[in-house]
Parts: sequence; C-alpha cells; structure tokens
Amino acid sequence: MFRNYLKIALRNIAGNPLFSSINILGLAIGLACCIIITVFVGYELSYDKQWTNADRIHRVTRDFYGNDLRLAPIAPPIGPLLKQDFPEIEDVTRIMDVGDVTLRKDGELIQEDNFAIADPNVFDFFNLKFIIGDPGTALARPTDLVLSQRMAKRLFGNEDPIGKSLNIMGQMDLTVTAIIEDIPDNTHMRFEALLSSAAIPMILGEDEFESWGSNNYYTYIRLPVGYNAAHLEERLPDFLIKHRGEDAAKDGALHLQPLTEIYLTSNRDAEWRVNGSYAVVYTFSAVAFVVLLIACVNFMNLTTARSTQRAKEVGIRKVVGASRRQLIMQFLGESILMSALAMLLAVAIVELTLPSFAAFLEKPLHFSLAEPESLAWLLGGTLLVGLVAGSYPAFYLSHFRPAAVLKGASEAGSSALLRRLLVVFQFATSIVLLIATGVVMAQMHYAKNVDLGYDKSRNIVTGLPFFSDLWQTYEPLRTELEAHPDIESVVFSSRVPSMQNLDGSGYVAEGEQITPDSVLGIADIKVDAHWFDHYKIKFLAGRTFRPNEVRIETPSKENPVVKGYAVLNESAARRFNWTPEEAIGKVIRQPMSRDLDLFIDREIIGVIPDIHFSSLHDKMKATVYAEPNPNYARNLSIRIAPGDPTAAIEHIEKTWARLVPDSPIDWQFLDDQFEARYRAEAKQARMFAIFSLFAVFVATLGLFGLASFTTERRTKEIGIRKVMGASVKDIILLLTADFTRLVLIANVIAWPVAYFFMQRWLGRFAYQAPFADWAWLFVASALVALAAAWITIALQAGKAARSRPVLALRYE
Amino acid sequence: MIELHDISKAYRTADIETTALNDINLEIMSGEFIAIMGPSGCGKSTMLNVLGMLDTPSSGSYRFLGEDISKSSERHLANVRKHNIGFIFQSFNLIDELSVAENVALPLLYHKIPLADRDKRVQEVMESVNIAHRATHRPQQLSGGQQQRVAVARAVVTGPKLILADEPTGNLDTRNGEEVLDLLGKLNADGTTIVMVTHDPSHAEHASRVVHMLDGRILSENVVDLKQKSEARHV
Repeated sequence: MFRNYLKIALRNIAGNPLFSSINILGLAIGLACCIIITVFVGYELSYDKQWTNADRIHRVTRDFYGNDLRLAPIAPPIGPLLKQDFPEIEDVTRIMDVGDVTLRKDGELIQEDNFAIADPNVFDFFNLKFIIGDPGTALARPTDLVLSQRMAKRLFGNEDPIGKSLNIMGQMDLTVTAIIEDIPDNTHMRFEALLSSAAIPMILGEDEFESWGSNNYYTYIRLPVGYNAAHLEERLPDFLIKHRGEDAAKDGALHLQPLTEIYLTSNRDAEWRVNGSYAVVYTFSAVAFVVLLIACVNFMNLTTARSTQRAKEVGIRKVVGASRRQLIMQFLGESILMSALAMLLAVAIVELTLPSFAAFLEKPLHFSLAEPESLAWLLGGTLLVGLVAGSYPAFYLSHFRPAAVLKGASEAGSSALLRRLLVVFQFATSIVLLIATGVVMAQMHYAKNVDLGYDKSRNIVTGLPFFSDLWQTYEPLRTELEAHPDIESVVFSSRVPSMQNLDGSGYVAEGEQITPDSVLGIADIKVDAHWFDHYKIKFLAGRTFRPNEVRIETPSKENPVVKGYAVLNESAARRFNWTPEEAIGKVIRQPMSRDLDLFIDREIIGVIPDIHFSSLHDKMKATVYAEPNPNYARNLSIRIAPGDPTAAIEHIEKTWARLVPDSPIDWQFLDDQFEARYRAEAKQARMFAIFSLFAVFVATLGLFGLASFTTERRTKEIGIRKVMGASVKDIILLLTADFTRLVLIANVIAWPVAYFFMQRWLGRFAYQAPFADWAWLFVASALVALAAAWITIALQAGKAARSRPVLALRYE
Repeated sequence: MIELHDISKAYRTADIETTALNDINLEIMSGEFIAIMGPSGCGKSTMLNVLGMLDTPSSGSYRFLGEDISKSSERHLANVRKHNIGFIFQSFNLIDELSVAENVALPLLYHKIPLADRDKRVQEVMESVNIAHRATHRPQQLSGGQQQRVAVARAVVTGPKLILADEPTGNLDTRNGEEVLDLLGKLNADGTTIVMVTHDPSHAEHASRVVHMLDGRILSENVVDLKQKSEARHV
C-alpha cells in the first residue's frame, strides 16, 4: 500500500511540474526563511546562558529621575556595600568598560579596544576559562593584566606572553599574568583584556572607590539557589536611604536585572554595547511564520484547485474499496513527501545563504545537519508542514462522492470560497509586510535626513588623550590644524554629536534656596567658544562664549563661589520657566561639592534651540553648555573643506603624531558615527525587507498557480465566449476581475492592521517619521500587489485568450 | 441476491426537487445478467449507483444478500461494496498515473492481499482479458477497447459476486464493444451476477433479462430467451 501511495505521489509530482515546482519552491522558501530565522532567534536567546550560575546572577542598575538617566553601570561603592548589608548575596563583582587604550610595547604604540578593569574575583564569578595562569592570583596586584587568547595572539604573536610588560596610556607598566579563553560573542559583555581593580586608585585617584558620582562600574551579584530577586530589590530603596540619605531614594532607584535577560530586555544608558530586543526576536519569528504559512496556503489552494484532476482517482479508489481514512492517509503522505522535498531544497538554500546572513548580521550563526537536535527539528518541521499544508486538501479530496465525481460533476463549491479567503489572507499579510518594510525604510531615511539642528557634514572627530593637560594639548593642536587651507575649524567638546550624553549636574536659579528639591538635574556638555559656530547652530537669544569665559577658576575653600558662564538650550531655559530672551543675563548656581559649600554661579549668555544631539531614539534633553572641564571626556571636531579630504587627513595625522606622540590618532567621520547609531536597525530593516519580499514572492507564486488552474478550468468558457465575439482584452478582464476584487479586499484588511503595528513600532523612536512621509506606502503597496496579481493572471489569461477557440471547445 | 422495495431517490437543489427514481421494485437473482435500458435521464445511472451503494436512496428498502443495507453507515457500505461488487464505467475511469498492472491491482491493495498473491492474481486476470502484454503501459497509451478490458480486469480481480457496468461499450467501436460483452458473458457464465446499463438493444441481447426504465420508473422487464423471443410483463 505504502509503495503504491509513494508511486502515485512521485508520479503526481513529476506529472504536474508547474504545480509541484510552485509548491516545492514556495514551501522551500518558507522553510528556509524559518530555518534561518530559527537559527538567528536561537542565537539571540542564547546570550549569557553559558555562564555557570547564570540563572542566579543579576546586574545592579540605577535610575536618576532628575537627569532622566537610566544607567547600566553604577558607582563603585554600591557593590561592596550591598554584599555587606545583605548577607544572602553570595558574591559581587564589578567590571569597568575602558574601551580604547593606547599601549606601548617595546617602544611601539599600539591602539587596542575592549579593555576592562575588573575585580579579581571576576574569573570565579563568571567561570572564565584559563589557558595559562592562576585564577586566584591573576589580578591580585595593581599591575596585573589578563589577556584573552585573541588579544595575546595579536599583541605577542607566537611569543609566550606570560611575564611580558606593556605600558598603558603612558601611565602604568602592566605585566601579563594569565591568558583566558576568548569570551563568546553571545554575551552582553565585551572585553578582551582585564586590568585589576586594584589599579583603580592609581589611575583614577585614591577616592574613586568612594565616589558615588562615578557611575562606570557594571556590578553583578550572585544570589543563592531558589532566592527570589524581588525580595532583595524591594529593600534597595532603604539601602539607598541608609547610604545616601532620604533624597537619594526620591531621585532614583536601584534595580536588579537577571543576567540572562540583559541582552534582550535592557536598553539602558551606557550599555556595554547595543543590545538586542524581544521585539526583534518576535518580529522575525512572526515574519518567518507568515512566509511559511503563505507557502502552506499555496499548497492548500493549488491542491484543492486541482481537485477536479484528482477527483476521478478518489472516485475510483473509493469504488474499488478505499476507505476515507485510507485516502486521507494517502493525501497526507503526498503532502509530507512534498514537504520533505521542499525541506531538502530549503536545507540547500540555508547552507548557501546562511554564511552571508551571518556576515551581514555580524553574528556567528551556524546550522549543522550533523547535530541530532537539528535533524530532529528538520524532521519534525517536515512532518508538521506536511500535515498543516496537507490536512485541508486531504479531508476535502477524500470527501468526494464517487457517484458524482466519476460522472465528472464538480464538488468544488465550498473549496472555491475557502480558496478566495486564503488568497485574501495571503495578499493581506503580504501587503502588511510591504507597508511595514516601507515604514521601516521611511524611518531610516527620516533619521538620516532629518534636520538635526546643526551641520554635521565634513566633520572628522577624534578623542583627545585623557592623561595630559587639556589646554596644553588642545590649543597648539587647534592652531596647527587650522593653519591648513583644507581645514575650516577645530573645536573641543566633551561629547560630539551622535554620542549619548550621560553627563549632568544640578542647578538652581539664582536667589532660590538650595534644597535637594530645588536643584534641577540637567545634562551638560562642555564646549569651547567656537563650538556653536563650528556646528552652525543659530542662537535664539544672546551669544556664544568669549575666550576668557571658557577658562574659569575652580571653586575652593578660599574662594567658594566662582563666576562662570553658560549657554542653555530651549528646554533648559524652560526648566527654569524662562523664555530664551528672559534667560539672558540670569544666573544659575551649580553646586560643586556634596556639602553644598562650593558653587559656580553661571551667567546665562545665550540660548540655542534644542538639537538632536545623539540618535533619534533619545529625546532631546534640557542641556547646559559650559566651559571645558578637564575631568570630562575630551573630543575634537575638525571640519574640513569641501572636496577631496586626503590632504586634510594627512595633515591631521602628521600634526597629531608630532604633537600627541604618546597616543595614536583614532579618527572617524562624524557621518559614519551617525550611521553606526542606526546600524543595527538598518541591518534589521534590510533583513525585514528581504523576508517581506520572499513573502510577496511566494504569495505571487501561489496566485500564478491558481490563475493557471482557473484559466485551464475555464478554457471551454473562454472558447465559447470567443465564439460569441469576446476580444482578448475582454477575456483578460474577465479573468482578472475576480482576483482584482480579492486583492482589493486584502488591501482593505491590511491597511488598518499595518497602520496599527507600524504606529507601535514607530513608538520606539523619540522622533518619528511623520505619517505624511509614509501615507503613500498604503497606495503603493496596493498597486504593487495589484500589479503582481495582474501580471501573473494576465500572462495566463492572455495565453488562453489568444488560443483558437476550436481547440478550447474540443478540449472536453 | 438483490431486493429493492419502493426505492425512490430525489435530488434537491435550492428550490427544485428532481425525482430520479420513483418507487422502484426489483429483484435480482444470483447468476443473472441484467440489462437496464431507457432514454437519457430516465434514472438508469442513478439506479446503478444505488445498486452499487455509491448513492443512498431517499426512501424504500434495499436488501443485499439478505441484509437490509438501506440505513447502513457509509463505512459499512464501503465494506460491503469492497467485498462483493466490481464496477465498469463507460469512460473506463483508469488512474492515469498508474500502469495497467497497477490499475488492475488497485482493489487488491485495499483488500490487503499479500504482494506475491496479488501479482499472481493480476497476471491471471490480465491474461483472461488478453491485456497482459500491455501490463507496463499507461492507460493513455492504450486504445479504448484495451482500456475497457483493463477496467473489466480491475472489476473482476477480487472475484466479486456482482458486476455493475455503466454503458461499458458506450465509448467503444462495434468490434471492441463486442469483445467486452463477450468478456461479460463469460464472467456471467462462470457465475458472476451482472447488471449493465446500455443504450444499444443489440447489446442488451447479451442479457438474460432487460429492464426498461422511463422517468425514474421501471416500465417493463423482458426475459430474453435464447431464441430471441420475449415475454412482456407489464408493470
């Protein structure tokens, strides 16, 4: 029996090449999309699960309500104090992301990334694997350095790195004590070299470990087995009050994040790197499911459309003794066979395309048939798709009454309606995906082209070394760089546009009592006098700094209140209830010590409009622009003349090498930095577009098959109509009218659905492409869907309409 | 073998009811060869479908081999049909995707006959209808007469007690038609009951009894004697 089924199935597949190839190709594309997305989703879900005790580790984070900051790293005292106050905490470790460093090895300067400073227990805490060295003592001394295998190889080649010396930032000589295995890519953390936290007092000052303002330490705690983290979290406000006073709990909060959830749920300020999100995981899972569903619907539609061809067989089999169950089994067997062939093709597609996807997404995605788990999934998937796609046709075909079908009567009534519904479903989902793709693209375009409020073009940005006298480094650099004819201007700022600005201070309007409630937390950016000119930012009121206004004194016991200056943005002026004009000449007081006894009184000299400083994800913040401060980050913006930048870049590099010999330059075009802010989204948008196109393609494929069968079925009608005088155009119109109606209905369903979902998606951005920017997409996708349907159907209809009617009439 | 009492069959569409069979009473003995004749639309095929349990009557009782099957479930009917009845159609109704031998073997599959027995039986039957030399051909590669011989082989391969033939010669030329009728005659001589629908009076002559139908009723039954003399029994 089975052999007979198999034989019939194979001959059916071979005997109907159009039907079979549409089904197999459609299912294969659907399955390939599913496999690729499953691999991607599986990878996204695997983050940080590899660490021992991952389920018991939590990251401590902190919110600051005043500055609207939600920081991933926290201040260094918090970790040890938590351990001291809560005995249930088994262990605490802190890691500070240092990022780029300049190393000197045997006199040669090397720029390296992914440096971090960690507590010595970090190895035990995360169970990092050692290749050489002793986890217990690897970071015991301030000068100890642990390298990943990859970094060791990069720095020392085939030499034994243990005991080798490296100078970091011209500050300290470090000794390599151990080599650890490279940490995997699927973790929210990123480090290739670890310095000991014992070095922190030497690098950042003796009081760094006591500083509650230095929110730079990713702090992880390990809780006992079965311990509910919520019990600890609810006691954290009291912890803050105990150590920082009543106001600390009012102005912010500490939170716990499960380690394994950080990558997909955390989108805090100063994350280690851009994290993923469940939204992306769900979206792509849904898209894969939809593509596969559309392919399954093709199968159902084409199989039931072809039912007249199979009806005779069903009748005969029933007449000679087949039971309905046997027929259902036979047809399910056929769809499973079809699904198996599609799966083979899908695996081939995946093998061919996954490496490109992995490269495109910059993730090490692997799919291996050698793993029993993959094989089990493929087998299960084949069966499931075969059953889902084949169930309706099997039940439908097997219900035929032999007396009727052997006489050639049609039993197609109910299936024709269902087929229509399924076509509407396919097109509605395709249109939703098309519109969604369009909106994603529109938002990307908007983000790239929106008026940011300043001119970012032709800017080269680079960091200034931290361990040098700010003005002694900066002033000569600026003078020499600006001397070149291809360099228009050079300015200093703590942060350059595109960076997240996490710096902030407290301010009160002059004359107001300084209480914790009256102090407004406002973001600040340190800039030099030319910064506004450089970025072509127009003043709403007032003016920029004069040269003498950017070099102010530091308040001290002897001189507790010093005079300073500030430029506000419009939002900051509004925080003080001033219009831009009113703000000019007002004074705001900035406390400079915890005891509230040192102040800078800043006279407001100008107000500028709010600008999109970082990406469009972030709301424009109230910001105080003040003079450069040596303790803040240091960045240069260099605007080069229009035209070939080569000479300017060469001049910049040469001048830098001469004036800043201890630190190699690491410059970037500002435009590229902006691109990078949208990089992950741009990639996801492209991936989304590709999968949406697959969905539309598979749906169109199905329509093509359906149209060809419809045309075939109506051959006689076409013949008669032609004999009666119908033109080719009349015939094409006749055949397209029905499908056109279906596609139009699909649009009516798809539009509100797409609108609803895309409004929600845009909600993730603080600044969204206006509806007017993407309203046309609704019409456009309707036209695309109609065009796809028309071309497909007209191809078939035209062929039938042009054939000689006598052939059609002789057909029966 | 078969007793039909007051069998009626009506088809309903939204607002029209068509009576295809109207109070049919008919008895068929084992070993009979019955021809059903009548103009198009008189209910011949419906009658054959009811006899073959492919269709259920709207009213009346149907006893097959002593069992009243007019109220039986679809599953039971399929089972009775499988074990007792073979069908031959005007349009042959062979499965195009299967070879001649595979088409003939099809009923044996559903009887769960072991492969070796199946092959042997298929070979015998194909030889008996003189089609064995075409065993591996597909139906489309055969002439109409050959196709109908395959259909006859398929109908008899399980050794049914009853063969229902719906205009088995309708699509054949005279010579091929005669060949098929001879085959049916031979089967009948071997003891198989045959009910055949036909338009052609000369073909009806092969039967032992001719049932004439008009407008869903049985008009007359003629017993055909060997000397072509008939005795009319008006109903």
